[in-house]
Amino acid sequence: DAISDLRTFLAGNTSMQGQFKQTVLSKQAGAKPAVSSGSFAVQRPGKFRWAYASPYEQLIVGDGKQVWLYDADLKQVTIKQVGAALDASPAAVLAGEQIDKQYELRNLPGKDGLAWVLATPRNSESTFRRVEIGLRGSELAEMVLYDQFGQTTRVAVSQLVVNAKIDAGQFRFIAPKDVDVVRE
Amino acid sequence: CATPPPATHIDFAADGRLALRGELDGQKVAETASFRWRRSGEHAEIELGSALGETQARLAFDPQGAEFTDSKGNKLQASDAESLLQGATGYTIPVTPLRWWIEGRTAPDLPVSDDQTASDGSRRFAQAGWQVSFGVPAPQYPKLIQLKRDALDVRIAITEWP
Repeated sequence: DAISDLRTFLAGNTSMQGQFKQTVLSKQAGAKPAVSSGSFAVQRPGKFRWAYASPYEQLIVGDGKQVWLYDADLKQVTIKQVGAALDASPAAVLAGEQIDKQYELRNLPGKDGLAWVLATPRNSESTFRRVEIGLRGSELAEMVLYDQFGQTTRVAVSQLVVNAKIDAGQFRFIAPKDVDVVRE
Repeated sequence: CATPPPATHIDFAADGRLALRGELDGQKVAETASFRWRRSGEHAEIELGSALGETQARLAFDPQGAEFTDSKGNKLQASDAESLLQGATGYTIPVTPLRWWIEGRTAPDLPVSDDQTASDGSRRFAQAGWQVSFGVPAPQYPKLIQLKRDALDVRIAITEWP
């Protein structure tokens, strides 16, 4: 079933890379979907790189100990300890140690040609209420994250490459000269 | 308290990110957040989210009052948005004048000093106790706004005006 496919997919793939397209829709009056896209890389457990290319350049890198949040327009990189920052985000779901530890999993009916798993964060402090993970065959295809304000973040994954060697430098961040480094 | 928003005619909308840095009561502080700013008439509504984008709080305010809702649905109310945000987050963010600054204007009811506009359209002035600088307008509104006061530096980058 979808849950066992998801567990197999995560356990069997220590590394994954691909492109993503993110659509955020809030319930706010007059809200229009905010679309962004970029590339990602994950080295399980704990290491990930989530690079937004458009409409603005933002990079989130985790090396398992700390997370760098770099915003090019703001010329600032914030360094956070893992945990609080990673909490529940697309990267966390993929890079997380053991999905069952962080999420309670339940099978959902198939939809849009995908098999779906409902992942409810076990940590009640999580800023996401629920996460739905869609698999095409046994491969990750989509994630939908619902936050406490009814906003949905839909992440569609494409050009997925698994178990390829990823250069360790992908999971470190060196701040450009004119960028303020802020440690939290 | 803040009256409910009028019909959903949106007079101004901006999505972006905010970075706050500096010192507060002798402690180094740093925050980054994303936001969705919407204004209908004099009613403004800001959804605040993490850098990763999920919404964590909402602030609604108009000249009558302000209401803050946290991610657990708890609501706080106050007569003005500044004291409410200060109480909820510990930060003094000049949201009431920001209602004008974010649209590239100075607040009409407050004195302005050292107001200079450069040839590229960027502008600097002092108002409400803050040093405010607008980046080059793109095309009509500032894409980058920087607020400085004492040891606090707030940078705002607008992604789009939906």
